[in-house]
Amino acid sequence: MPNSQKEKISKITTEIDNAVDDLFNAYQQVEIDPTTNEVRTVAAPAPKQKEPPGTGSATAGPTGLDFLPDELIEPAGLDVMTNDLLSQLDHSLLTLEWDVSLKNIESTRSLFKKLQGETDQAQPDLTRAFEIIGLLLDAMAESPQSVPTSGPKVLKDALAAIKKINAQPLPAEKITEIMAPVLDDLQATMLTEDDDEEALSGKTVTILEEAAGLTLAMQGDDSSEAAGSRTKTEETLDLKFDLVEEEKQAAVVKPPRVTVPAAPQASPKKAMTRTSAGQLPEGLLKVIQANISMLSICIDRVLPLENLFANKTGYDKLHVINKKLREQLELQRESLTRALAGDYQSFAAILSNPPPPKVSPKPEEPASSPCPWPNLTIARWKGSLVAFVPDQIGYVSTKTATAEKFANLTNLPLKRLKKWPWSSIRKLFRGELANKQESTLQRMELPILAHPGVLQALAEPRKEIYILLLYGNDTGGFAFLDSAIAEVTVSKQWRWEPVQKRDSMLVGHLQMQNEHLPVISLT
Amino acid sequence: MALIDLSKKEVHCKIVYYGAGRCGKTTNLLYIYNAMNTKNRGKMLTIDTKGDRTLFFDLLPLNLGKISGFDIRIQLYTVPGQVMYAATRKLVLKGVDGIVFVADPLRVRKERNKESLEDLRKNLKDYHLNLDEMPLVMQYNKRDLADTPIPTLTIAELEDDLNKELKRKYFEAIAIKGNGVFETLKEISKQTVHQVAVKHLLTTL
Repeated sequence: MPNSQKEKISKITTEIDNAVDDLFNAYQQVEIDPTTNEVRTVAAPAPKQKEPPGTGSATAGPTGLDFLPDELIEPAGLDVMTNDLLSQLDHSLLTLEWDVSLKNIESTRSLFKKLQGETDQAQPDLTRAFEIIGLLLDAMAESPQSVPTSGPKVLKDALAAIKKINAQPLPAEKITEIMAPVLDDLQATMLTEDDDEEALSGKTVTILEEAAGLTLAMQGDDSSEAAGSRTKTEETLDLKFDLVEEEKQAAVVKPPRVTVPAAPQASPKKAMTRTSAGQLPEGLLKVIQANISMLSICIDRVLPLENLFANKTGYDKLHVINKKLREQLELQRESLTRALAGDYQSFAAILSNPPPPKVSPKPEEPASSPCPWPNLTIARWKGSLVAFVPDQIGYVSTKTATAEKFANLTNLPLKRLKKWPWSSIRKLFRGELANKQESTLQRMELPILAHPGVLQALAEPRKEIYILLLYGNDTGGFAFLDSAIAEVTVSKQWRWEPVQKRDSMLVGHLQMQNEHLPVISLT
Repeated sequence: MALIDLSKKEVHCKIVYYGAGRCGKTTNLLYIYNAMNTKNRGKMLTIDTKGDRTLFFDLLPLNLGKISGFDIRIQLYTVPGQVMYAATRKLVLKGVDGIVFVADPLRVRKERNKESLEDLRKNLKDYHLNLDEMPLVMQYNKRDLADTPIPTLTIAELEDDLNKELKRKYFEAIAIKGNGVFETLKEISKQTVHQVAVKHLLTTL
């Protein structure tokens, strides 16, 4: 190995060892209860020691501002409270990087608001950064799945820049120099990547492409993706369609991402200040006009889709989605047009409080009581889609079996599920059955269940079936399914209606708009 | 294999705490999470836990900061130790860069420890990884039980059972009190990041 390589390795090894030794230490002493995992603090954190020079960059994370000297990152000029706040924000952003959830977003937002209160309110670059951070967090909260991967990193860069500015008094031009790349990054994260629209200083991220993609996938014939999915069984497709349609709706009808006015090329302070009472500055006027133009383009793109779905049978939901989307866009265009006419308040309201997602599918009325099970297993049984309680499923076949083998049976011995005569069956089961002795299982037989809502004689006979075994509290039975099972999470949109007088395994229904899902349970 | 983003100069190393059920893997992560300074670690994610048992995995992200210009992130994972979750255990091992094998000193778990180590070796092999070449640290947990009437294995016995051929560094630990927890973490982090850096980053530095 060449000497230079050895030196590199030696240098890296030293750096790694130092970083690990510095950072991976107990900050406070805790004890964990071995039975409950409850954590108890037994010694408070040691007094904060000043970090040795050079470790600042290690804890600050990537800033994108490496041209600035490291000593500026040291928040020496900040009081203890602000330091704590910055530390909490570091933690919060690292968490957000891993898990973009509403809870984490709200926690980050609240910390940024606190930090804003601690910073110089008169500094326009900082004010603008906090504004855009707020909008970015709004967009994240509204549509976590469409957060650009750069989102959390940009927030971290912004925090690093704010730290630098707050660390010690800096001249205005230095602050502008520090904030400029951060503001650019923040703004870029909010904008689309649509090159055609680059001239617009404020952009709306359209979800039309998503809608169009979905349209093609639903139409199936021309789309390779949809064509690929045709290889799956019809039952699975039907199931998936039923299940995810509401999710797709939710995704499709999400309102466009928050529109952010870009920073004008001139001094931001000048541009953001109203020239006189009742009038908007010229830069802002241009931004509004650009947004109105963009909204008009969006509306023009939605209309053909809306008309297309209106004329196709079976696409009613997509028609409604596009119709509502178009109405939402028109509403925004109207608000902006009013702003141009002098009604500045309505425009300001849109900027600071983006309209709630009115077009999101909501339950028609609030649920009377929540569904007792957060997750359910669904499948087609005798032609209808039903839900089972996952904990009660003792066995389910992954491949189809020939229905003829089980015709005219009222009870089925568990040992019939064996693949080979000499193999054990215990390992096939889960839940209560998995805890029974092999010898017990070998002797057990359970009834074949009748679908509570379908007359067996009238049910369409099938050649191939999936076998599901429900078992709980020492009772159970077999259901011969038409399709494989799928796991679903019961969202809040579903309304739970329990059966009042229970005389079968049907314990209730989940309902949403016109959808209706019977729930089967042994208990 | 570590996830390396050259454009962002970020390296993500994956360390998995492996061992038989109830040996204290999650307790290690819980201790690190609760004792460590908040600015260097993210939220601990526990996926699908029933009672005090890990059914899927726990994940704790740590930030090591910049090393030679690269932002180093370490993800600590645990696997469900129970025999029945073999598939999940294998899945969590995918892309692993370093392993902490946590051993239970209870004499009744002697065979479980050995089975778990064999299970680890086999699962790694399925991913074309060799345990003998992986960064690996042994942790002999629950050493406080040695002073109780509960029959436990001695360090020599544990070494003989688990580390005779591997000959890796080992740490005695009482994870509920934090003894040996950070020592283990430091050692495996150094080994792992060092291996990743030498293997994948030297050419780019």
